[in-house]
Amino acid sequence: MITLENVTKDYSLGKGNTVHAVRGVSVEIGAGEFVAIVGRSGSGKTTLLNLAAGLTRPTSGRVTFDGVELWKLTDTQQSYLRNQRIGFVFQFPSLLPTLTVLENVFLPTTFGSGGNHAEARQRAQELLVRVGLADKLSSYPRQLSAGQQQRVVVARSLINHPEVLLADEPTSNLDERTEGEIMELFHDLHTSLGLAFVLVTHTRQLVSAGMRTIEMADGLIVNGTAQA
Amino acid sequence: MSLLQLAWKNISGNGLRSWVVALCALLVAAFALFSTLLLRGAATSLELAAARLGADIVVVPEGAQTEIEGALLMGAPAHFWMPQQNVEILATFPGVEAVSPQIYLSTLVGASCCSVSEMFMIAYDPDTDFTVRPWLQKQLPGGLGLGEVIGGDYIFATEGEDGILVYGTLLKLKGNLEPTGTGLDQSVFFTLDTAHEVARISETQAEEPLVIPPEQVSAVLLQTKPGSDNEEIAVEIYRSVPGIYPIQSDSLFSSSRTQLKSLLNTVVIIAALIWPLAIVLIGMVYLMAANERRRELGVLRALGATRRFVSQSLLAEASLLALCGASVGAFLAVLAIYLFRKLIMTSLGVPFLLPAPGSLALQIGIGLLLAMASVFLAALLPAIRISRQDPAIAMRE
Amino acid sequence: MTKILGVLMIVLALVLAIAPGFTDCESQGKTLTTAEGKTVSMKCHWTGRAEIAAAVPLGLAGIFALIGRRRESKRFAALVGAVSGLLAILFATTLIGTCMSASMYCNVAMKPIILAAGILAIVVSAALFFAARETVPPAA
Repeated sequence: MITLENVTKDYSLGKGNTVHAVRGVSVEIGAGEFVAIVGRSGSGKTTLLNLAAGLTRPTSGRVTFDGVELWKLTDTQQSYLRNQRIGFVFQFPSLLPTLTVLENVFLPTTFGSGGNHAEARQRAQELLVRVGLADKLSSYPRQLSAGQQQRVVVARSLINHPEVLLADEPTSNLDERTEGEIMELFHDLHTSLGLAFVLVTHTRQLVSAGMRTIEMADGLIVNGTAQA
Repeated sequence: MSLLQLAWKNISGNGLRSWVVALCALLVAAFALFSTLLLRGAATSLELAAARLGADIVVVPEGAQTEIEGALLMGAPAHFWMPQQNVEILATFPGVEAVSPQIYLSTLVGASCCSVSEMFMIAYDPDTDFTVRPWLQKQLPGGLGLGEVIGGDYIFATEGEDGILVYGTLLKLKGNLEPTGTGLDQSVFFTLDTAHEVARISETQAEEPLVIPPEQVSAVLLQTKPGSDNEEIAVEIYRSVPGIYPIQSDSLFSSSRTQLKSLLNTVVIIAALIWPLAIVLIGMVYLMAANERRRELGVLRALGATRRFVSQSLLAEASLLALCGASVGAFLAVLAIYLFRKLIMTSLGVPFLLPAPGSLALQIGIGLLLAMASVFLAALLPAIRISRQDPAIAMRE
Repeated sequence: MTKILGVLMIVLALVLAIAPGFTDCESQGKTLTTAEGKTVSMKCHWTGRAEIAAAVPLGLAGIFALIGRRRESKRFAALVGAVSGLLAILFATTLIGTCMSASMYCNVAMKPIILAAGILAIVVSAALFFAARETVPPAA
């Protein structure tokens, strides 16, 4: 589904200093797979995720989504692809503070192809019920705990029926128990919806059986299979 | 949820930043509208007052130019005299079609015989007059009789139903004129006969008698033949007749016009200073927004918002803020001009007239547009710049 | 937002209470002398005094808007503010009024200031009424 062919990503820090975040990585993520990318901080795992999602342009190499090369698309086309087929869960609190929980969840439908407003609200409500926050529809993010906020983010990531969910250290700010709840939610969604999952984490503890693991260090894959 | 709804919600949640932008829009709109209303109002008032005089040339005694301007513009009573025979002399000039004398008087200050203090009074000759009658006709088809006056907009009867006490004589106030925004609003008009009658009665009835020097007039109004060169005639008059000064109606309010011009220049200079400053300030505020909301906007891009959506939503926010701020600014400007117009007039020394509703609406519209355009321009570059940021970089710590 | 409106109301209240003292005819040295030779103040002076009666509730309403937490108390403050503004206008126009001549200082300066403050008090109170929300404490 998502293929990275020999991609590199360099960041220039000025004065001739360059950071080689990812150096020539090739990897394939198949439909319905649960892939964990592990490594220490600075190993390039977040950058790899961003490259896979088209959130940053590779310095060299190709990124394709279902055979379509991402960087040959226009900004509108790329954004549409992200909107419809990829869901995101970030490490930091990513809800818009000025919108209610419900509004946050159906926010992605604002950028889509229009579609039915009532339908979107309905689906958002259902998703919030699914993640266990049925009573918080009109609350504002600041009224929710960190764990609850992340659950809203998960609900948001599913609003447009994506094919893959990309999660960048989604539980690193949470306590152990909430972390477990979120991981359980992920596994539940993986099995029931058949979604592909790419989970970036620095904690090996979150990796369980049934997950394909890719280990990164210093911008390269050092362990794990590049293909499904 | 539409782009505008999202923009509105973002504004409500963004406290200080939103207030700064709205305040800038408020100030730009208020300043622009206030100054245009003031300047246009003053210009209109001068035009109207000059038109009301109806004379092509006003002849006054030499040295009385500023006094008559003060009288007509501010209602400050004027006292000057010249020989009555000037009237006949002036009538003989080629190019002069009609002449009519006027006498300028004023009531006493705080005297019991006069119910209005320091009121400027204009006595005209109904037989030869051509300035008062035209606008008087519209209101009083019968004209003014003996003992009757017509007052400017501010004059009201203080004795009984419609009477004003002047030097011990009860005069009947037959009506009021439309406002001109000048001193004419505080003046009364009556015939020469009435003037002489009041003078006669005042000898016994008033603290001080009203003295009208015999065989003297204050000013002579001239109407020139159509197509004549008024300047030429004025110059000729000045050269030939001693002790007088002819004023063309265009230059009648010359010192006020100069005042107005310098006021205009001051306004333009202030505008030239604040406007760029306001734009730069707003631009800076939006640039700061770039950094503060960097992450949030990166998330929007990740969720599928195009670059265009991001820049449009930022501009929508700016425009909404501008609209709110500018509307309040316009409201405040109009309120201030309307309530404080007398104070403005006396402190700046220019006359002023409020514009008609149509013209007012137009000026408000322009003020709003100017403020909104300023904010939009200021936010344009920052908005585009923010939208082009690499989402991954934007979301980094 | 409501805090700023509250501050505005307090400022307007101060204007209503203090400004008339400096802009009525008496402050310019003009008073009436009765037949017996006594000096009495003119109408505008009493209007100025009356404005204090409008200023006090307005100021209190402003304080309520600042520190109030419940929607009802802020809306109540808005109502009080609007009525005070209206009262201020009425004092200066129909209830007591100012001097007759349009060129006297109370009409040139004092009355416009009072009218402006009154109108703004009503507008600000209306804004407060619609902007009033419960102040929600953030989650732990």
